[in-house]
Amino acid sequence: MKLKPEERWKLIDRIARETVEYGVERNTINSVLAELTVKPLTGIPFAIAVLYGFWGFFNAFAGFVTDGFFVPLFDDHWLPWIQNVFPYEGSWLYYVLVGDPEAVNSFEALGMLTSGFFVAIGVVLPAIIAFYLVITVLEDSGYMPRLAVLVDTVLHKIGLHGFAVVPMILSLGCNVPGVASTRTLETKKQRFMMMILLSVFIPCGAQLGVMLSLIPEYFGYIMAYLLAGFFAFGWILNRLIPGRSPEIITDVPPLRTPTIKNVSRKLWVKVKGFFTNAIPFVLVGVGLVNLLYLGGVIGWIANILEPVFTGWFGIPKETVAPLIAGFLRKDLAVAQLSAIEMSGFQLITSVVIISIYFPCIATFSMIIKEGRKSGGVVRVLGGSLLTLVTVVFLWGGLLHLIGILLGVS
Amino acid sequence: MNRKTLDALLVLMGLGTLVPGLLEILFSLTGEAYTFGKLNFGGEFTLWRGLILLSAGVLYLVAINQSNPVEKRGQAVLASSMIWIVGGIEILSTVLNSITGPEGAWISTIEGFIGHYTAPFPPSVFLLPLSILLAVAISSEEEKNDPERQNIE
Repeated sequence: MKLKPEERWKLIDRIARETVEYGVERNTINSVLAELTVKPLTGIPFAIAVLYGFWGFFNAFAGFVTDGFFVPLFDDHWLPWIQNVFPYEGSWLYYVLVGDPEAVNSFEALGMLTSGFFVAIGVVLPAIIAFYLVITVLEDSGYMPRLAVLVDTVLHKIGLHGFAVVPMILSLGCNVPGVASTRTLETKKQRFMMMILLSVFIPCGAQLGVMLSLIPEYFGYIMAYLLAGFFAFGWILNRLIPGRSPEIITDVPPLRTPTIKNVSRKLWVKVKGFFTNAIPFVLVGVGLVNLLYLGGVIGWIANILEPVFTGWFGIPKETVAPLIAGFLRKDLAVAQLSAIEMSGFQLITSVVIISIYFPCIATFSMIIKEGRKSGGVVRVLGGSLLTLVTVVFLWGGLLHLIGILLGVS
Repeated sequence: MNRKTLDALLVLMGLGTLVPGLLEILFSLTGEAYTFGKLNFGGEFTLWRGLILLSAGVLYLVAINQSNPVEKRGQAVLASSMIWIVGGIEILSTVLNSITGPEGAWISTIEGFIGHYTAPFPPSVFLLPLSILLAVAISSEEEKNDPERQNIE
């Protein structure tokens, strides 16, 4: 049936008369709260409180489960048991699967069944559960779009819009879902920019956790430098990359109380995804690093890159091996760095370089996967590598220069 | 609760939140922990806690001048919820830390468990019950003024 324009308008009027109810909207505390959380003057302090609560919960819960239960379980029971019962001590198989037979904790053993299991289940899993639980509550309460509206002005300066805050926050848990969630951004330019900025400047939850527990005194400086890099290179990329950065148009829903049923269901789906996708990756990654060590590949690369790292970045040559290993496990690379003797400023520089020099292998794979939808794999991968090399040399070198000017490097 | 009572409560809560917030910010600059009687200032993220308490205090005080009663109550609830976040995280950390034992032990001893619940506490823990009482009073007021509820009654 084809309707003339006037008939169509009449039909619309009739449907509206029969379906739309008119009344006076009453101002309630809930509607006032919904409005206050979007207005910058009241919304920004509240957003700071929400983000503080986010991190407070993350640290309290993940710290409780990891330090309180998984560390004693793995260090006092699992590690000594597997070191004793696993045969072929001294063989390459023992080295790959169990790691160092003299290790006294699961962090330093570096085997697939020791460090691999410990990192995946003991460290990352509690962090992932805590992280997704808070994210789900924020989504279901209707607060997430409000946060997006609040940060829209700031992110617009670098060609992104408010919803880019979702991949940013997700990446603070794990860069992999962060990169995956860039598909919600509207243009290819925005998706490409966000993927690069996330994978370079936003450290994942595991890395953040290791940084907070091993080098808490430098945590603030490192994060400040990384965030400054995020906005500085975002501003530059926005000017260099052709494409559109449209305005945000979003529906801000009313504030609601999340239901336990919905939150638990969403949490289960996300945690299940972590079990099936990320844990095998971590285990294979640990094994691969061990094989590279055994084959002398990492030592060879370390020798080649030594002059660059010591000369350009001003960090000791011993940091080269952890930096290369960081391609697979950045959290462990940070842990390894903290055991190397160097000055505080060199430690800050090394951790910054670990964060920005290359995304971990899981994130890198996700960039390739998502790149197909954001302008083609070759374009995204080529652009990513070019940006990464530029960023690491400029931002890492600048930090060394700051250290020289301050007389601490 | 009449307007004057609510304003008096807002002044009390506003100053009681603003002053500790300012002190937390000042003490965070020194990087040291300070204890005054049962109050403790310092630890991780002191600056952020201070900023949040300061903002909540300002919000309570600004609400006094708000002529619209619903807006006034809404601002007070928002300020209270900021205190709940900070205080709630403190209590959660205390509870979780009290469960785990020292190195080599899975569960804490009874003495160790109780030891976590003794003063001093940060200001947000003391402000938390007061802000809950204020919010409860405000929400009961909201229910009283609800026309739908009045129709039912």
